[in-house]
Amino acid sequence: MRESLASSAAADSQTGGGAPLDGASEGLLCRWLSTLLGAELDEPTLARYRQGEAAPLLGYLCEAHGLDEQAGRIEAALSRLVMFTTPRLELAADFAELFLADARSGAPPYASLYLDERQGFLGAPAERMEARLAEAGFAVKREVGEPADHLAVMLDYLGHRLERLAETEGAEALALRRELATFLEHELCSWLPRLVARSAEVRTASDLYPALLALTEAYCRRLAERLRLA
Amino acid sequence: MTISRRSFLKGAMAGSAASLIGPGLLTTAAAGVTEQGVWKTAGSHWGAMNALVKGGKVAEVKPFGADQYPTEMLNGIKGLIYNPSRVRYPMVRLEWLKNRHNGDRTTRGDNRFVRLTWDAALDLFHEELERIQTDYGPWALYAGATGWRQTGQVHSCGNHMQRAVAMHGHFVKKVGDYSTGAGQVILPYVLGSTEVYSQGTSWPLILENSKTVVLWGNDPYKNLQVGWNCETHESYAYLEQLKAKVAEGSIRVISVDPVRTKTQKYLGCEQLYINPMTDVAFMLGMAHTLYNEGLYDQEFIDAYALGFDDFIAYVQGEAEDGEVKTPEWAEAICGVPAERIREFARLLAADRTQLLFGWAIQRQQHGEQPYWMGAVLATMLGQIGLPGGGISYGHHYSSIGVPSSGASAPGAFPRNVDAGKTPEHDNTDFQGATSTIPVARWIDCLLNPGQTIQYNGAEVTFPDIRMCVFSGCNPWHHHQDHNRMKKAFHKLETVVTIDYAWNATCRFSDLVLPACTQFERNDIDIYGSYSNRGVLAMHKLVDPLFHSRSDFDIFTDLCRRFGRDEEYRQGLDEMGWVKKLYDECREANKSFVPAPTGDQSTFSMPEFTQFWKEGYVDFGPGENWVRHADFRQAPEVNALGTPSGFIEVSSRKIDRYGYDDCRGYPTWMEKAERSHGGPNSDRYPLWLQSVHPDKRLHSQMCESEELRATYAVQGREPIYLSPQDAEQRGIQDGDLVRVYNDRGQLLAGAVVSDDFPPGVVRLQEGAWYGPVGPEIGALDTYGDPNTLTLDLGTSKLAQAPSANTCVVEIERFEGEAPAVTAFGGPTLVEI
Repeated sequence: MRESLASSAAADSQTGGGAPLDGASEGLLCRWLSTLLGAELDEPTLARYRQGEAAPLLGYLCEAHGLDEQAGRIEAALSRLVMFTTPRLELAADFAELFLADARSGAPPYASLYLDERQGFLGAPAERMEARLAEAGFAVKREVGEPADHLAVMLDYLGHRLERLAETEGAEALALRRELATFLEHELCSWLPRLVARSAEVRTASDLYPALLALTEAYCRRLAERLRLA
Repeated sequence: MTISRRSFLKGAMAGSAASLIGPGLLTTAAAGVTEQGVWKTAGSHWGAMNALVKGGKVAEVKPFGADQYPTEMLNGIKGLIYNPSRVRYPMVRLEWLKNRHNGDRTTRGDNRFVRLTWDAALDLFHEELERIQTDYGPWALYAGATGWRQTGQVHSCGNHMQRAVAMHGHFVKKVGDYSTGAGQVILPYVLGSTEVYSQGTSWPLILENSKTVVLWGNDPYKNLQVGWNCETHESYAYLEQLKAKVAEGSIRVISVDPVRTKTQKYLGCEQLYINPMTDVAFMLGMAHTLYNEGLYDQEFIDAYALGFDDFIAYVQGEAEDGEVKTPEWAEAICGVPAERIREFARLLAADRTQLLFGWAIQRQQHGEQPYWMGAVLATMLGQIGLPGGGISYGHHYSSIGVPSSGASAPGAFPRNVDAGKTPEHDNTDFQGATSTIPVARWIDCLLNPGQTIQYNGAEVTFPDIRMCVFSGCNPWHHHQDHNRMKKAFHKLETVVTIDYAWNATCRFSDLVLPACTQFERNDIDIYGSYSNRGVLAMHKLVDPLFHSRSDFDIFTDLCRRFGRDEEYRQGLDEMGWVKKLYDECREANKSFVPAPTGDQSTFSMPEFTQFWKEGYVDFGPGENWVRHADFRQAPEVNALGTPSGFIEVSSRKIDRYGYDDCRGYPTWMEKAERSHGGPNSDRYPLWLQSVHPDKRLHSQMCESEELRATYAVQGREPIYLSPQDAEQRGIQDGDLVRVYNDRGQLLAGAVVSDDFPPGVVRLQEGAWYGPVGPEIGALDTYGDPNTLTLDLGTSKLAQAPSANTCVVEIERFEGEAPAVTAFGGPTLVEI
């Protein structure tokens, strides 16, 4: 869809993945992860996943980032959903246990709960993220009802910025790559390992969401490396 | 080759992404101007305040200007708003969602929840109300439990819950409360009003006239930190003056208490140690001295009291029990040397004495008796109605004793259905069961539907309750014996809770709806509580966090489901109600003529817009006042509300009830269990008192990390114990200990303190409950004393809670301590 605009890809240095970083494709990946981490799956969408519609996304993560293990874990979790009579509800309950219930348990997806010493909502990371969104001309939709440091919001922002990267060239692209690498390192990679560790302690019916968190963490780390190397 | 494969994947991925990527969470927005922040007025039980709101966040909280003695608990406000334990979305328990009332009820509390939209959640709530009213009737629905809500007269959550549910159908309510259950039932028989919630003699008159002040089981310096309305802590100025008078020796203050209290230490006053739960025996010994040494006021008794002869016959050993209540008899029970009892009686009779009773001693088995006996002592001293004399049951509560301004306070959003309207389901047939449960007996009711008990001169038959609704009320904190509660909750078909934090009540519910905190909506309240010092604008500081909503919005939307939302809110929105309550208050104060000056301008109030902008209206200081002075002045004209109109030392009415646990005059009765040689003390020798907490309001703010860090021990609620008890058990200060009895067990952190005598330990009530697992008797990981307390009515008269009748044993905890689950949310608690 944006391949024709992916001129910055050509400027990318060769990386460990053996291919230039394609901002448009990475943007899609981020917004896909944001969607999955932002809300529970409804029945039609879950059906699409169970029919294998996510395979190209997972395939790209393997091909472009070498995340075979993490992607395989997602596929395995999806295939194991046959064990449940009401898979959507079980996944919704997993989602709730990890992300929605009392944030002292589960794996709350808010940077402030990991990076701010007060460990309450809307700490300094949320303020930084709000400022970052405002600077880029964005705000969280009112109906979303989440602070800016929610992982899904941060990934959505990252997606938009990566797509912007695809539209830029030269020094501007270089500066944006560095900015995004710093963002990933400081605002995401700094707490995602802890989020993943907490998710591993939660008793979920399916491995889908813990696997998704592990994938997200590995992807962010990989993406930061590749942006930095560029 | 690689490139073409990558290109292929990119194309496929884009197609896949198009169907799997949602609409996104961001919208475009113009860059905002950096906000400097704005100060707003707000209020809470912990104090009125000013808050700096910056960038849509509460940045700073300062005490309200008029509050000269603010509590450190204001430091917890930000932590409460932004607490990780906030309920953020409507949630439903998965098993209940799948199978509703036909599901496995024993899984309630296993807490696998899923999120709902507000519409879906309120549809479910409405469907359940419909089902209960249609399939059963009003007897099957309990929406009676209300408690310490958040402050604010528009959003008072109990009013909203009960009005909305009542517009749908009738339901079972409660009578009484956990604070003063025994006191508020016995005292109308004796002194003609509940007394516990009545304005008391003004502090300036006590300071001016009293020679002796007795704090009886009373810790006002601790308990006055919180108030029912937006507190401004005016009582503390008088406590400061009292401290000075103690220091100069012009007033003698004696704290009758097993424990050296915070107040005692602040005032630097004396302590009279007494064995726990033996106050009545002690007071009987005093009565014996007063009577036999001729120190009682016969003239006062003749003029103002009835039934003294029957009572004194009991003291003199002329009643059925044949026991003379000498100080020596009392000493064996209460642990106070007989001679000290005599000296104390003589001291009180020697000059003007103000008795100030706390509420703790009526929260025990036979809790009616110490209050009744206190009134009898005050009657024998003959100083009721004199400045600085008589008895008070409330000077530790919500500014009682601070002179009242006399102004009218704002009303409230209505609790009931509007006059002339009827509910959707107008069935009032409770099938012979009561429509009103004595509040502390509701677990008995769940466990024993159909059972009949005695209550305050009547028979009460328990209804067969199937559904409960709670709003801003946390019974899993305030009710006794949680393991018994677990069994009772297995019987319920549906539990709906509206709250802002994932407390234990939420975790034992099926449907949990997120209310916002009081800092996220506009409201109005008085400040100064009983002094009614002024009206406070409670500005909304920030928008409701996450998906929470105000009680007003939640219940308006519930009523929309049966087409009565407009009637519910009377056509007004939130600010419409704030203004309405203010305007009505302004109108009432316009026509008010305060005595004796007749100055109508005293309570002039500005237009609403000015008030809202300025944040408050101050009514100025009130006039001094003496409780029962009017009665003393003209007992026939200003008769008390007792059956006779006089003080009833003995009550014929109670006597006619024929209760074996509350007779016609105050009596000493042994307790079901008691330390210091009492029943069961051989197995469990330590008395557990569960006092009001020092750094929270009941269970409110226990979730505050900031405050908990100032008192928790190894992350657990502190248990205070004496050096002697600690040494005997090999316990060091700071150790983790297991506290247990036959009803339950909990972990707590030991604080060894010589404020505590041997045999007495303290866990503050309001500690959040967090058991390790599903089984009955599971170890509570944080230290909620109601894991251990006794769920027993005080007597057939009041049927009030007996939380302070509780004995336990303690041991050092060995091994790996389980993690605290009290604040850990729903996934970790199972039953």
